[in-house]
Amino acid sequence: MKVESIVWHPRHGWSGDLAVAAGRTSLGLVVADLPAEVVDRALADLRDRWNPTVAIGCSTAGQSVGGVVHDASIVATLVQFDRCNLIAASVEIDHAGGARRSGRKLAEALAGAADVRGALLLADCREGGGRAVNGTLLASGIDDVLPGLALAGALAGDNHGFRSTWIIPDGRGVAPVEGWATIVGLEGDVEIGFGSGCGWEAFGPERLVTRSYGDVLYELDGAASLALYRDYLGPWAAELPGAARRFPLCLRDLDGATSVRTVVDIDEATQSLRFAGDVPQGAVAQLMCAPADSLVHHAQLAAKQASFGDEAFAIAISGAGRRLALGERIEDELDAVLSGLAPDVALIGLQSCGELSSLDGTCELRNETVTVMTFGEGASA
Amino acid sequence: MSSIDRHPMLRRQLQRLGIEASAGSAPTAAQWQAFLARVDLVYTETDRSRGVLERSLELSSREMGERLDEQRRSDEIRVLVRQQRLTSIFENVPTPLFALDERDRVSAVNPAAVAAYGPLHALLGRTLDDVLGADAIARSKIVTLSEDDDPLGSLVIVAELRELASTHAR
Repeated sequence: MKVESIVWHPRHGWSGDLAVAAGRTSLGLVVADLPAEVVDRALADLRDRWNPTVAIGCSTAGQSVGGVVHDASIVATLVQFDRCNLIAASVEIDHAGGARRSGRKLAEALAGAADVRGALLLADCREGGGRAVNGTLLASGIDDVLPGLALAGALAGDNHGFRSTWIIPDGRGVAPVEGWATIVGLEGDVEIGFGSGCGWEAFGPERLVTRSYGDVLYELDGAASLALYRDYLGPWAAELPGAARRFPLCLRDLDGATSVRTVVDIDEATQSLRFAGDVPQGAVAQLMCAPADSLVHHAQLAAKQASFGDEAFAIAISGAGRRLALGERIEDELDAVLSGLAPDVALIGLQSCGELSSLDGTCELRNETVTVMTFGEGASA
Repeated sequence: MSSIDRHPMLRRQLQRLGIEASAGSAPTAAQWQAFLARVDLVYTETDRSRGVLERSLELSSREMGERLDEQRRSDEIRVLVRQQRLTSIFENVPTPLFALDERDRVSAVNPAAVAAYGPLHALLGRTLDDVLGADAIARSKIVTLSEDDDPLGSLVIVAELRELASTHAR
């Protein structure tokens, strides 16, 4: 396995070139915290001479190579495999009939393969028309068709402005588009590891979700949810909607299962918040805060969980709220991830609106975690 | 302070900007400006994060306090209602009831006890043996409610066996 990354910066252009060796299966991954049109123009320089077997990508709230964050940049990575085949599929979420049907269609594309060892999924945060994609339903769709599929994924992030997100679906000309989801299955002699860590801590009173519908939270304890966030943010409420990511919600549902949900949109008209996944009515909610050391520690735990000793490539998908909480210390988190992985691993990091993983055998949406996916082809690779 | 002792973030910032941290070397004007911009950003981020955290902790503490007060008030009301309910039962059951103090002397009685054993002033302060007499005690079933160490004393139900027998017969 060979992994190379180059970085594009508005002032400097691309830092190098990525050549695909003839006959090798390759995965191209493009991540950027820039608008789609800027990325499209920058990719024009690359497209002519860059033709990986599968090319995917997504917008982020920040990206990194190794332990170094590259803000306001594009990171393009080429992973060339020796003993692994790739199977890819893409769907337009709106046309597929919503998030759950999209998840099913993507999983169906992998269902015929004999030996899928794992999959990477990238999905836009919004459908056509601007509606947020419900990550819980997307994960359920995958699980409907391929229960137990080892999968990690990301909902495309943005730079906290809640303006636009995009993905690069495979088979669409290496171009950023809105409202799509794409999956890549890895088949053959490849080892894949997964890990996930959180580190956020619930604080303050427990509140009952008294009115919600799907991923929209209207009321907590009978009071408007947006008003609560405004109250807690005080003068920083002017930075809404992005500032809402400072307070993810810890949810305990009627079965006692807990999950973390992050805000992806606000609606002034209904004083409501939209989250990246379901917020069930009747659940008990608590605001969460992020002690920096705890976030960093749990990032290392996630990496250790994902490491199998000789992985050559790793992707760390980190919740966008972690960046807000850690600020410049975000590189501490990357160092922590690297310290938990094999010594010479090539690490790509991206900050997302939601992380998908199937750690417990069920594909689920998680928020504000570090989800690490590792890849290796053994010593002879 | 040697470079080994420097904060990891500062070490990283200097490295990214290509600034030599060793004694005797000075950054260029451009490096210095870039360094100031990064430090300024960190201060601003730190202030914002600390401000949000302090505000949220203050608000949540206040909310928790208010909920605790509300809970306390709710508990007090619950105790009061329970007391009223017990008083109502005490006053209205047809069976003689005696409340005894910590010295096992009568501290309160219900109207049924007054009807059976005499006026209130004649019962208060006396022992149960004294009030009922040995014969009546022999004919009665005496049930003591409440714990031995209850600071409020005991509540004693006195039901004559004859009454019990007739109740069962009915």
